[in-house]
Amino acid sequence: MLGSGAKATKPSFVSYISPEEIHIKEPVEKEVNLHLLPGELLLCEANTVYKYIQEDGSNRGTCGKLVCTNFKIAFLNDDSASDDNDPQFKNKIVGENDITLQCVDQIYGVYDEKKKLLTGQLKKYPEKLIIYCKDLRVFNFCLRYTKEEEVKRIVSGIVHHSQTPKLLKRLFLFSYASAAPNNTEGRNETVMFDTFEDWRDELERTKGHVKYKVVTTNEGYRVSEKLPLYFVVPICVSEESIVKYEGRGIPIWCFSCHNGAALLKMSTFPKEQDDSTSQMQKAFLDGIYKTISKPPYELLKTEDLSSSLPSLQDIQTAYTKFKQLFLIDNSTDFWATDVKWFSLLESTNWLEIIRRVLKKAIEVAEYLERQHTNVLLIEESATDLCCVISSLVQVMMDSYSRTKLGFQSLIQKEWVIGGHRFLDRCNHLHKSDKEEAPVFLLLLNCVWQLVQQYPPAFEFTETYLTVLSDSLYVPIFSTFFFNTQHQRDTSTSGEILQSQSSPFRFLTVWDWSVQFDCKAQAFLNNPIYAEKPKPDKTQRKNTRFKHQRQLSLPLTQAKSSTKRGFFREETDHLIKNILGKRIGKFINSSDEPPNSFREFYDSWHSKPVDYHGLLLPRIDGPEIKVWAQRYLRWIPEAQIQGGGTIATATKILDLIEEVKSLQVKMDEKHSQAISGDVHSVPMLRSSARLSSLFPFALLQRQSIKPALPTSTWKDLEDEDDLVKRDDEFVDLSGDI
Amino acid sequence: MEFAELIKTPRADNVVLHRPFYPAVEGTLCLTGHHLIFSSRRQDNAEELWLLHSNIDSIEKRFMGSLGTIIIKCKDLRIIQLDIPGMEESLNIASSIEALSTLDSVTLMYPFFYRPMFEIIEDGWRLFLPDQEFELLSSVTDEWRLSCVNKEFTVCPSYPPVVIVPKSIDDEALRKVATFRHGSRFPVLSYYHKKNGMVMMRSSQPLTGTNGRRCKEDEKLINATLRPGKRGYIIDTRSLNVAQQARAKGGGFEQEAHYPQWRRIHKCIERFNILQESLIKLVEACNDQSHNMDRWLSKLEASNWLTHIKEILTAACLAAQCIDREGASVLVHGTEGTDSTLQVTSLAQIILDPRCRTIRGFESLVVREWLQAGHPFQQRCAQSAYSNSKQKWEAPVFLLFLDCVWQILRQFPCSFEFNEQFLIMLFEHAYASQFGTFLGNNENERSKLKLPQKTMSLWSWVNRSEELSKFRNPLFEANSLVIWPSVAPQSLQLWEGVFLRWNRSSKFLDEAQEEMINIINYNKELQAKVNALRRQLAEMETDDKMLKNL
Repeated sequence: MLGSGAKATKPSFVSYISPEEIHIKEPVEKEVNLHLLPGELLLCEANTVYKYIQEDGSNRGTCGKLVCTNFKIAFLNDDSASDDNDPQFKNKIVGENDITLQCVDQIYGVYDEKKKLLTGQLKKYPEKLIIYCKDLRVFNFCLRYTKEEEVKRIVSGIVHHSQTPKLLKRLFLFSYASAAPNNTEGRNETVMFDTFEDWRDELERTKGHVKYKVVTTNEGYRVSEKLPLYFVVPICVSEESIVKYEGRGIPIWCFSCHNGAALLKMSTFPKEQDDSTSQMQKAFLDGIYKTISKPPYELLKTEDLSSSLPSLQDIQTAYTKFKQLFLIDNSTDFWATDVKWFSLLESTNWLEIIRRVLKKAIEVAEYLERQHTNVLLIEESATDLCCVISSLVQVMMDSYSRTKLGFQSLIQKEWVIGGHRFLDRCNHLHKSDKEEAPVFLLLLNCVWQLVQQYPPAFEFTETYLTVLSDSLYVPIFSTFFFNTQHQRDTSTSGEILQSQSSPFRFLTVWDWSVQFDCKAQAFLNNPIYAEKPKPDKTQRKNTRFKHQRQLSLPLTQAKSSTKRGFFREETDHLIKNILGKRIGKFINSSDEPPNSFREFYDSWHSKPVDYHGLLLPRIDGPEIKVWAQRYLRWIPEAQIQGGGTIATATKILDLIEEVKSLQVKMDEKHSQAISGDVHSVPMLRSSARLSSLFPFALLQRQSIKPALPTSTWKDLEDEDDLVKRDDEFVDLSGDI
Repeated sequence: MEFAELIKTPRADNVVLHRPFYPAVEGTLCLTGHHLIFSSRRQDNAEELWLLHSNIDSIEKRFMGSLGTIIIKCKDLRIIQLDIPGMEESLNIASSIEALSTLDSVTLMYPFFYRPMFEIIEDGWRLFLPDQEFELLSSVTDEWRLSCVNKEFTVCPSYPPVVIVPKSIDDEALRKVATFRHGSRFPVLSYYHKKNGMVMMRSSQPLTGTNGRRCKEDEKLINATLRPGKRGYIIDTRSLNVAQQARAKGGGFEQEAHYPQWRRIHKCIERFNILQESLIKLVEACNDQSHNMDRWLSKLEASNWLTHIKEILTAACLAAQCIDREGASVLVHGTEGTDSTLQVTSLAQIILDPRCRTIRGFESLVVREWLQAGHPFQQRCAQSAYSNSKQKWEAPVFLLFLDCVWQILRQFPCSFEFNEQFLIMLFEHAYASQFGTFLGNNENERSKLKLPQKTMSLWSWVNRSEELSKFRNPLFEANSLVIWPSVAPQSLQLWEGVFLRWNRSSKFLDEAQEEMINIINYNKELQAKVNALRRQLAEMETDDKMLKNL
């Protein structure tokens, strides 16, 4: 997979095992039940298929049945051993050996040791099937012992259902929704932004309602199918102007920050051949700019994202290269990347793209926070990089977006309702490869950088981000399977399936109980989140007053106190003070700096971090890291048994849990209610047993073994030959 | 020699000190025999900077009119700049610093003048003696003995006076083996694995030469460590090529024919100037303030630092694996047996032995496997990343070891009693210190310099509870298991605490430190609470029982 270039270089780490050596377990004839979801249909199956995995340096094969349904490809094995050791973090919908059809990235067939990409019609059927998944799992299936007709059926079935273009209505989403019509939307507090009230409340929350209004112009999608039903524009923008160009050229509100400056986005006009049309458009835009630059609106800074950020193609190319580093067939390949790891990583350009996006977000934050300037993001459709930047800016500036609910609402607002074309960008329907680009994944990657730099600032964990990225490919949730709100609404109302009498009720991904039970959901919450203390109303007024006074006072070089505590109430108050000073300083110096970004960045980083205030990512080269949990989780060689950050987390959790459970026990005693045992802790007790890739490291449950490919005597035989040869050489030279 | 001769201008006023992330400060600069002292005379918050001359790696001077600028680059990788008014003053100060930071004689170093301001509870010089180590060993096995063959350092100048060798080998045989090993470093015990009785030994290369010399006593000595019918592994830290080339210079490796019970595995750990250059390149890359991701990763890779880390860790893991998994004894050596050999033996012990992951145990490991084992600290740590002189014996061997320990510590954050600060502290003191611990190249030199009598041991200072509290890992949970670090390049990281330490606002670091102390205190509170609750619970349970019985 890494190309011949990488293989030609001499790996410094030698693996002595040939990948073909398979230890096959005797097949036990035992019927294994295929668990089907409502609306899921078995399409084809094949028996005596071997799935083999690398374990401890050699291949281990498990015999089982490979099936393909309209939802997933599944391998059913009769390995009952796995049942004893039930993983704690289990997805209820997609099992360890399940691949949803949308999760399949590429399928390769192996013919006489040669790998060939499988697409569309097949003439010859392979003896081995390698499935690369979008969540970076790699499955190896050996079909050598399978009946020929079954091979034909399963291979063409899998290729057809996962790799060929599809109609929207053939998505499993619809079969599921119609077969399980009683799916009442679970209690879900995420703001969905599909009603007028949701937008109005958001405006009020951010205090944007003074200068911005929710418009109902697009009710019934009268103006445009690309626009959401409800959205927010500056009060001075008239309905006529929205209607005039179907919402193009209209600044749409994203977010107002605490000082009143707002982040806006706008989709541009397509390039017009006709001069007079473009003149008119220009005049229209000028008019718009003029109205929204006048008081009460702040100064306006426009930011054309298509010129200042990498294109969608660049992003797609970079990610395609990047993911290849992790789609590893066997450990030989893994160690082969060893010497060149950093240059390979660098040549993908993916981390550089992340850095550039983060940098852009900091620049935007600087305009809003320090220069009190409105920022207008401009992009052709305003639904790709606009979403990335506006979401990132909100995560950085608005601590509410760092809570789970807040983040989910943000994704609803900017992406789902905002009109990010998930269907096209994820290429769920295999309509056009050109439209594919991992834009949403780019956002998650950027947010992850922030999460790992400032863990206490986020209510959710990196595991949350990882499972969210996995959910992109689970077609039972409507969240990531429509291009626009319009498309979703029209599909729901039963226009596509006429037979359906009542409208579908799609599931939302935010109902995490669909995928995870309570225990597993605990992994999504950050135990060391520094929760925001409930602010006292009077205090809040005071600080605001101080805040204003600070602005008019000359800058004092008072030393900011560094006293700060994890769990302390007074922090909030103190930080607000500091924040006030910070603003004061900026105002004073806003005249001169040519490199205001750098100064803003440095100045912020020289101050103590307020986990509830503005949060700027560190973007120096060494700070941008690879999201190990998402990308390395299926690679056993990269695991640290009994180590990693999870060890720290477990230790802290255990301590908290112990105090809690003792408290519970105490309370029980006090109330004389003598009951059973205190329920057990969701984590395994001893951190020594967990792997760094927890909760995903499912492949190596057996024992703790070193990940050095030199573990058997056999390995050293080769070495031995080398030694012998050398000794012969010695003797010869002695004779001479 | 009087230091005063070297100091023509002992004091300069109106000097401006520049440090990254701090506002420039004006103050007075003083030079003493061992320190450069800068004091801002501000009434409100007087700031003082004390810098040991021996910590200065290189200095640069520039002039702008009559204003002299001296840039001081330290061995702990810090860079500071002093603006000194007056041409003559600046020239004098620069030349004094240059002279004082490159003193030839060890006895003029600060440790010989340092008088501790704290009460000594335990004398660090007497803390980790071989006899104590042997006592521990003899409680589990009687196959080994303490040999005083090197009492006057006559057999091997770089070994300590007493070493642990197989019981069946007498001193006479040891003398013979010494003549067959480079620098007379005959195989000695490095580690005994209690779990299965396997051992790790270390030595230098055998002097086989081109004609394949052999030494019966040497064979007998290392075979004595094998169980009947068992095989052992020889881990040669050099690649096969390098080992073959060594024969031309009289060195070589154990040949299969003469050591049939041993399997030889070659690893490739670099030495000397290659490591030094790697460090220089790495520090250059880290100090580069341009924020380009692309260039950062290439530079990081080009420095090869992490490759060295990986090679060393891999060799150590292999040694540990042979002992723990294969149940075999291991002999480790490279050429001299004073550098890569010690990296491998000491890291393997950290992997295998939980004791080495405690503070005391790690100190003991550093003493046994580095100081007593004869790692030439004085030579290796004479210069650091900013040195211009290309002496071939300078190399960040010990720093690489500490970095490897940090990698394991980062991978197993709860399995170590000490924290990153402890490792950074050792790094600093290995390069410049007020203590005598890291002076001299081996025990022989140390006893000639009378360091235990004339200087203070680092351990006497560290092991006081005030200091220890800074170095404790609040998350430590004794882990009796063998810990297998991942050596995949994806798992290795740049040690930011050392290499990016001065490129970040230290305010930030101070806060992190403060935060950490807060957490530790909070942790203590929680522990106390847990204990109190437990006690209360126990009391209530007994009350319950009594009630029921009634």
